[in-house]
Amino acid sequence: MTAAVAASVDSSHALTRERRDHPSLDIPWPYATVLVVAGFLVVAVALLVTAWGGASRQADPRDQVLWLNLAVLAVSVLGAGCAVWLLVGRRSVTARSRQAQQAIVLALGLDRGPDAVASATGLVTAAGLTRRHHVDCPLMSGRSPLPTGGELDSCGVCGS
Amino acid sequence: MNRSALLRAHWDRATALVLLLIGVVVLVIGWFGVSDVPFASQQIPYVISAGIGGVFFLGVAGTLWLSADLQDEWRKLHLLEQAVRELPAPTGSAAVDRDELLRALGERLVAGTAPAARRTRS
Repeated sequence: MTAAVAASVDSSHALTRERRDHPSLDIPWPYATVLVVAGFLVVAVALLVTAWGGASRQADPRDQVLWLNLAVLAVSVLGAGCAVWLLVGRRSVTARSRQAQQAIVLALGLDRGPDAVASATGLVTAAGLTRRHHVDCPLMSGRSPLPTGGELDSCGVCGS
Repeated sequence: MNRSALLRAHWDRATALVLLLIGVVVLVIGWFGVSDVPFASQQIPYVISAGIGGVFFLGVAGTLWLSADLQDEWRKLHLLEQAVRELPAPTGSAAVDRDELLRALGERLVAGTAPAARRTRS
């Protein structure tokens, strides 16, 4: 089994474990959205059944066009409901992602300035950089510092 | 993990697959139904019930599957955020040991120590 397949299987098992262990975690949809989308679904099904029944009772295809249009409207209503559901869910997940990022920033102390961010060795780096720097290194100017240890190569400018 | 536990955990994906199957079967039935009748007035009810109805099932199945993906993402973020909030707060101006924090975070996530959350909707 390749490493990629093993990682995929591990990830799948972890996902199932999370779902099993936390079956009732809150969901990304507010009650209002659940009700609205359920309403869309009920209306769409009702329209489709009405259209089917109406078309079945007509003998002339020209009289059936109205019912066919009603069926197309039913699919449109369903599509709108699904779109609302997915859009609201995506927005909620994005908002929660920002909250999690904020929590991580607070946990790492990244909100307290470069001095606080520096690790025990007093060294920092930044996204896109491959070397460690002193906090006051000119190459860190305008960048958001991330704490680092001695695992990166030293900077030739600040001599970290 | 046995099959029933897997199905319970992934009920939304299982439902999506069932709806997908139903949608395909309904479309095939509609196709045969339309093929068997000679008049347009008899074919249109098949188009509405089986044709558009099949698309209906496929649409709901796709939405349910995407919805399951969103819920997994939400669940992962919830557990991550909870584990991060349970970490000790960085103290004053003392240097932050990022590796230590990340190790503690990883241990909490792997051990699943994040307590089960209440069912709250935002």
